Amino acid sequence: MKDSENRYWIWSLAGVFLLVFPLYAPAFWVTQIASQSFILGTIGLSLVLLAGYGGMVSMAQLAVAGVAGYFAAYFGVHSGASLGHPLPWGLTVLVGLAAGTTFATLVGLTAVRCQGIYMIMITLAIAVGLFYLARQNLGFFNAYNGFHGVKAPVLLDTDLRQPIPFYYLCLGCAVALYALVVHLVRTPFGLALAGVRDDARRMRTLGFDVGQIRVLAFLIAGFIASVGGLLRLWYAGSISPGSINVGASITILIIVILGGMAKPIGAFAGALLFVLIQNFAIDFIDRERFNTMIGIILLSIILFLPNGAVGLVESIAKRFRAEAGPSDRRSETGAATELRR
Amino acid sequence: MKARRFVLSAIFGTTLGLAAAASAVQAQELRVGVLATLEGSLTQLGQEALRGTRLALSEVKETVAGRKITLFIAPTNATPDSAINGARRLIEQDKVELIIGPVSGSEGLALVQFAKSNPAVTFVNGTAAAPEATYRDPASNFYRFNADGVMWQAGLGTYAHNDLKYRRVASLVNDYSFGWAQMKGFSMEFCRAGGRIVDRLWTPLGTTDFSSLIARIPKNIDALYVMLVGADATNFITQYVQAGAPVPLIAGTNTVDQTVLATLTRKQLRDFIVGTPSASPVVDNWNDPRYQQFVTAYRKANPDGLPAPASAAFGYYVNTKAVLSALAEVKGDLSGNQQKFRAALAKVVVEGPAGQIRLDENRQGDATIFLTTVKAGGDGKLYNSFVKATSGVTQTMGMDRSAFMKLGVPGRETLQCP
Repeated sequence: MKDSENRYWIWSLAGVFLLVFPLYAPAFWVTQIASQSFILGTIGLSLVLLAGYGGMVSMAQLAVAGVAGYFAAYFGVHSGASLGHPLPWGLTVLVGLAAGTTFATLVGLTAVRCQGIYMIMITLAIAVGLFYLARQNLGFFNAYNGFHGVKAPVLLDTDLRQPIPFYYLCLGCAVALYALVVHLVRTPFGLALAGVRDDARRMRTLGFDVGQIRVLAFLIAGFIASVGGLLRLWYAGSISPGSINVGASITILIIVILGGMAKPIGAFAGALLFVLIQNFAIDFIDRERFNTMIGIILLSIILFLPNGAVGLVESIAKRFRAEAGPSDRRSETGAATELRR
Repeated sequence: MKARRFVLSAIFGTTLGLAAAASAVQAQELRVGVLATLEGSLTQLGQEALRGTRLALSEVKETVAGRKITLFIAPTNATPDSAINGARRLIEQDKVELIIGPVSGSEGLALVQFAKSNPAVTFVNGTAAAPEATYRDPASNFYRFNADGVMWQAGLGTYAHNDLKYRRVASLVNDYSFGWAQMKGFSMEFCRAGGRIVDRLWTPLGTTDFSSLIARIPKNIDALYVMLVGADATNFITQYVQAGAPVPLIAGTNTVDQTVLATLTRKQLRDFIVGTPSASPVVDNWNDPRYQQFVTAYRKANPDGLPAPASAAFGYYVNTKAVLSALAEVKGDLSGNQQKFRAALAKVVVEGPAGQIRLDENRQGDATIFLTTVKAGGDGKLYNSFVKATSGVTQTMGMDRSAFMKLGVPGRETLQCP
């Protein structure tokens, strides 16, 4: 069997599985596991674009999703507080996405001058700042309480928050954004971004506007995170400062490390892994020990699998291939380039 | 190669299958979820809450009408979304039919909204005490047998003005639903009696450094009304005493309850806190026999617990007891969307340690509230000494519903008298 043919079959099988999965699986698996994985994976995907391809580890991606969520909640239908201006849901979505993307661009403008640990620090500072603002500000963020009973849009008489419509919504967004990222990294912009990651000075000498490329990456990643933020808002039906605190921000980084930063699919693999651990770890350990468990898994992945779960699967696949025939040199060198950051 | 791949996928599939089977519901047992703050600054209250629920359960040997009750505990951290995540996990994963909790006010408000979108599950409060949870926009499947934060302050404002002769006070209160409720409860009486609250300081839950707030406390006041919860209260009292503690305190319910008093081990702190007035659904030395029985049972069941049950244990105890009474009445029958059980729950009269509790039309219980002052016992332990009991406190504090509504939703700006 040829390698490309193999890959084609795997993709088609995965596609069919994802499409029919909710028709047979219990609601818990459809919503709690699958939809949530797509949502977290989407936010993770934005970090993969920034960190994996742009070499910029941003801790503010969840904050971006949070801004989108807060705007969509404020300008959407929710219960309780006398706060907010409900708009038609199409506008609500637009406002949410625009706000998240704008915020991400501002984060980008602030952060692109730094690199490495300094970029992590400044984006983390922005995320923490937003958390404190949301917790204190009563007029827009509704302080400690946040927004609850937030309703998802109703489209053609279908409540999009019902398990199966919501699953397809999440699946659709995840696949579209995944395709966007996969396509993007092959465009001249994507190649330039990878070039900036590998050697910014050389790119500058070649005449590229490094800052502009980086800010643009933040903008696109911000849009992706904003979509994730809206889905997350509808999934939880609520948003409050706890949804955007440091712990939650770090969760996104954990997801991306679990799955592997080298490929966009890593974000979704990591999210699925994280959600599974989160939901089933308690069958093996105390609920209170969850953080210990996730910490140990994270440490072992960092120590033993620098390319995350996706890297593990790839190396296993490569061993199979090595047994079956000559190894695939191309993908090996590809992985090596991606490793070198 | 194919064989190996098959084995791998078979292993993966079996693992998933086993995991799913493990979470399948067993027929006979009654699955009850409990939300408790076991993380963050309200950890002490969460532990205390579980003691309350377990005490009520042990009275019926964890069995109602032949059905064994299995508890599933979801830890939260006092933020609204931790409560929602916990509740979702309890329902979707542990397949609970009832949820008891949460501990904290803003958690409660979020859970009421969550309850509306989960009509199949009955929610019975723990100690969350934001009034609106059962007031403006209640959920038909949310019941609260403990009093709310406004009710818990019954009598305190009047006592501070008329008996302690405080005229000018300032306030320092945790900036969230419960703090706002307590502030409303205190100020509605204190302002009505003619007192003035010259400055109102707010601080988020989880504050550890109070120095800047202490510096902002006005100079010419008679007392400081403080409503801080859990670790915040301990931290504040410590730092306030270090800063010289210029004026005495008037304490909110959780500020001098046993979860805080038990942490004040230094003599300087203990000497300062003695004499602090407060109001609460619990009191440590009331000689009512039924209440004494409750305290004794609590001590016996919790050798590692607090010297006396705090409000969190009390709240979870009466709410759990209500659930158990209603379950006994319908013989553990939760069928028919729990309609029979809910009807029983709405009518149940709970024989609480401090008197009977009945629900109003919004499924909110009435309460007996105690006025207390902190004293030091012969054994050196601090306790809240009984001053006065007010029974039959309702959610509208004895006022007409619409008149009470006009006072406004508890918030930073509610009921000012500067």
